[in-house]
Amino acid sequence: MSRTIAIDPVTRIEGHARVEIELDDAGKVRSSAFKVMDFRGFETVLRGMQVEMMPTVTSRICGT
Amino acid sequence: MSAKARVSIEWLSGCSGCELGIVDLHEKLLEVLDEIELVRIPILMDVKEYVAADVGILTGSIRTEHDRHAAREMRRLCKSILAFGTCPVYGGPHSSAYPHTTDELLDGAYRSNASTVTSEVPTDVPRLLAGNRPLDSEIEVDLYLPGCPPHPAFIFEALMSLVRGRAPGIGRHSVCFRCERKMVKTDRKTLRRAFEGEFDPEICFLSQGCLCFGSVTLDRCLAPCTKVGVPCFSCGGPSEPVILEPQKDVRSEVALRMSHLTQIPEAEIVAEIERQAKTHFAYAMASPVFRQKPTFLLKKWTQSPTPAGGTA
Repeated sequence: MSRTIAIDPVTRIEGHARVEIELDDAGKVRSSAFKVMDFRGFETVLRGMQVEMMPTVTSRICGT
Repeated sequence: MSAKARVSIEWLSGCSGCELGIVDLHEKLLEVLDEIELVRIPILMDVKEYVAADVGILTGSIRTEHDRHAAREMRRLCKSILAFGTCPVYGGPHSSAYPHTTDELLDGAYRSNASTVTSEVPTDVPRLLAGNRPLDSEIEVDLYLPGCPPHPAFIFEALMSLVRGRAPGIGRHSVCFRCERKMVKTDRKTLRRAFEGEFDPEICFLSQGCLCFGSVTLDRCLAPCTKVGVPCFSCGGPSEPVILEPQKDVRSEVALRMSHLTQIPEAEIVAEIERQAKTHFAYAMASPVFRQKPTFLLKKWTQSPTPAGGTA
């Protein structure tokens, strides 16, 4: 019987993620997906900020 | 000795730098662990559910539907809630999404991003809320600890005060209190950026014509930046006088102070701060602290068609 295994949330990483693994009737992996649940919009946020701020603010994209 | 206090940690939209801040307690961490038991901390433990605890620590801001759900669950199960870091207190660095719509942000990241292969916005992920918000827009908060991240000295005091049920013995100074540069009067006539020319490491940035927001920023950092030649960008959020007094506004306060220290006209400094608003209000732009002040024009300033030069 086909089934889906979900690991939600994935722990001991930085941030929020979910892993989904689909198995077919024989128990073989049909597909797998890694889903990132975070979104803060840094691509747009950084536009218009002073260039000298980039080292301090981009280090806050990921703090680990 | 009584039983250890149960501490549960959850992160919302943030960077996990605050969790690293806890590790930065170093030897003090052993002292903390004598009094607390970590029952949930996603970066270290595989506990997926929300669990009952004496102290709930939340890092990150409210940005997605999941953040809202997580905050409510933590409030329901924890006796007291600590807003840990600038994100839950004021919104954090991604607060500067304030002038943009959520759709603009998604467009910038997925649809029209030159370095992204896909042109589709991800589905089956938590829905984004209309804007980035501090934690207390959603749940009641018992203790606020801004700082990006807060210095371990403040983390230690905040944790111990919550665990021992006493008021935290934390200073209410601005960043200037810890900065060793001297404020002196100079005949400086023009503004300059931190990368323009040589700066005297002993003298205040304002005296030397460079914008620095240390005087209107709460000290939760012990002023590491100005010690290494970087002006304060206010990552800890506004100082107490700015929070408490309606007339005090970071823009006019800095401009007045700088114009007294130099020969630069106050109006010129005000205009420059407005041009650089996205930089200097970045971390706390989402906070209602600024809505009742002249800075309520933040959206207008940051959408100005003539941004300051040297933008990223």
